[in-house]
Amino acid sequence: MIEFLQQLANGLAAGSIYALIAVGYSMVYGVLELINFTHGDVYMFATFTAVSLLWFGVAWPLAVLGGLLTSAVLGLAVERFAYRPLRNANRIAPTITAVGAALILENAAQLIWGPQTEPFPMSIGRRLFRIGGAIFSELQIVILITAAIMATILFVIVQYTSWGRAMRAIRDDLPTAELLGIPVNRTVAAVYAIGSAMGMIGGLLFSAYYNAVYVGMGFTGTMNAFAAAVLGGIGSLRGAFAGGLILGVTQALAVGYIASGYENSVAFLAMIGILLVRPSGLFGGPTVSRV
Amino acid sequence: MTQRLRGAGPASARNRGPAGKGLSASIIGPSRARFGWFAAVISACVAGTFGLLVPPILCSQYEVHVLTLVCIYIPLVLGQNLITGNSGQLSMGHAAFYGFGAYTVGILGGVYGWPTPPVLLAAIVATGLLGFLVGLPAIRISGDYLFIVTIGLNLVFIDVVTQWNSMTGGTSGIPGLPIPSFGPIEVRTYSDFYYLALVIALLSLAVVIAIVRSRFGRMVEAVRDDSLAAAACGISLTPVRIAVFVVGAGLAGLSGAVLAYFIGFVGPTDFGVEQSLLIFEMAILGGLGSAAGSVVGAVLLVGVPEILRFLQPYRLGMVGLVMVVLMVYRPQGILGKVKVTNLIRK
Repeated sequence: MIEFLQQLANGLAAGSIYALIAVGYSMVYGVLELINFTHGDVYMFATFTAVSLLWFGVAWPLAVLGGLLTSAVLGLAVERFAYRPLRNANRIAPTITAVGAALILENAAQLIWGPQTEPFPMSIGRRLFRIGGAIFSELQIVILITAAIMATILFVIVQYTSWGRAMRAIRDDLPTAELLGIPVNRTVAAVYAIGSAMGMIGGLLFSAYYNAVYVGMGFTGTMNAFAAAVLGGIGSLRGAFAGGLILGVTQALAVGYIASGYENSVAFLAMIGILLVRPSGLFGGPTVSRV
Repeated sequence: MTQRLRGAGPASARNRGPAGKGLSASIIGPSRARFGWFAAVISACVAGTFGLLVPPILCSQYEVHVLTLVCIYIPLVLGQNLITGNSGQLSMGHAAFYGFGAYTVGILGGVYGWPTPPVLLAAIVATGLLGFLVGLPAIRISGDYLFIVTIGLNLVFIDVVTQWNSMTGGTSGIPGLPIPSFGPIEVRTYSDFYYLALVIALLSLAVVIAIVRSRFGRMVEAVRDDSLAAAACGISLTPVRIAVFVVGAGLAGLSGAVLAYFIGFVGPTDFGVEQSLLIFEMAILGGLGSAAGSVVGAVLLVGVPEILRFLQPYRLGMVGLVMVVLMVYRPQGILGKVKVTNLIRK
């Protein structure tokens, strides 16, 4: 039982990171239904920026702010040059421009920071806490709290601000939203900026948790975020959050009870199982009837 | 659905015109236009054949190596394009099929020492069976949900070949594969491999064009264009959707087998999700639903990085830039049709 609780705790910490990345992913994905392969590389680049600021001795709140700004600017740039020209085209073409933009970002990151894995420059989370039988590290608690705070902030923004209403209107019906005078381009750009910033928080926590910053961290993150967002139901933010947690917990339980090395398989097989029962995800709308 | 006002006029006209005609034409028979296109491809192939035979004589070993890789990718992309373009199913696990074919060679040819022709046959059949299994979830799951499921199956494949040490050699793979031979003919040198890969690529192209033009191929496209109308015409959707997966997987298995013989080694690193993404990009960049487009996609995404090699530290970014620019100017892919790409839904 203690063992189970411990794995659950580890899974929740890792899952919260996935959840943050996935919520950022899902915002963009939900609004325009684009498979956004650049998300991971945007937050990779921004995390590297924040870490570089820490190397130069900048205080951590400023470094995080710098990273957030970088991610927002990159998100805007990717939206402007890789996605907006294709908004009237089919929905497959932007997957290619997304990969193209991701390659450019990876190339730039490799030129600036090199191909090696760097340790995370801040040491947080040495102390351990015992909560209900499971042992949490300080860092895990920081992660859980950050995820909860960010999710709440985002929920409030999306549900209660005029910008959030505009975003939901565009998601539900873009042409009508535009007819009603909603500034579509500006709102969508803001969605990219905020979504990328959410991803960056997740990316920063990821590198702190695994004590590693490297160029390849974006791709894995994108895949997990995409999986979590789809599992939760396309366009559902709470679905993406839940999807991230489920992914993290199944992976941790797989490592603890089945075999390490199979955690990806187990998590994805669990996901396939869920999708077979609910083909449009946990919080997705009803399936359009198929013949 | 996400059309903006600015694009509503031409886009809706595009949707209206061919969609109605497409279904009826595809049930009744090949249109004249399609036949003309097919004849053009065939004559281009015949004319190009003489050109294709030349490279090993004139080119450097490195260039022949690159051309061989292009030829190995062609059946792969043809299979992916059949699944995603002609059948309209988002699938991104093609590297698993590719790897399955390669590991069939590694295990049957390398470990058990089978001769080449039965190994190639086994690679096609076994991978086709795997395609059948992967196609099963597609009965119930479609669109982006299928996309993520196939990515997941690719990850499962990688986990299995990495962990199952006794069978696959784990991370170190299976080295020292035998030299392929067909009766008295041995495939030894770079130019031998080029010709082998070329023959297989051309055969696959011919097979795929024949399939697309056949009654079955028209059924596949009818199911993609309007599954309700297709079902009303008496096409049973599930077997058609699964059969496409079987054929696409079989082609990928063949590619994997040739690759394994070519590099003389199978390991898990060549068959990850990144590889699936590359194959997927080739099909889209070339043009969904176009067999000739598959060839163009393979040539572009193998060729461009090699041509840009001289830009070394900036090469990856330049490849990315080329992809962005190409797609912004031709959102339907180089040889793709607007009608086909507009049909891919979530």
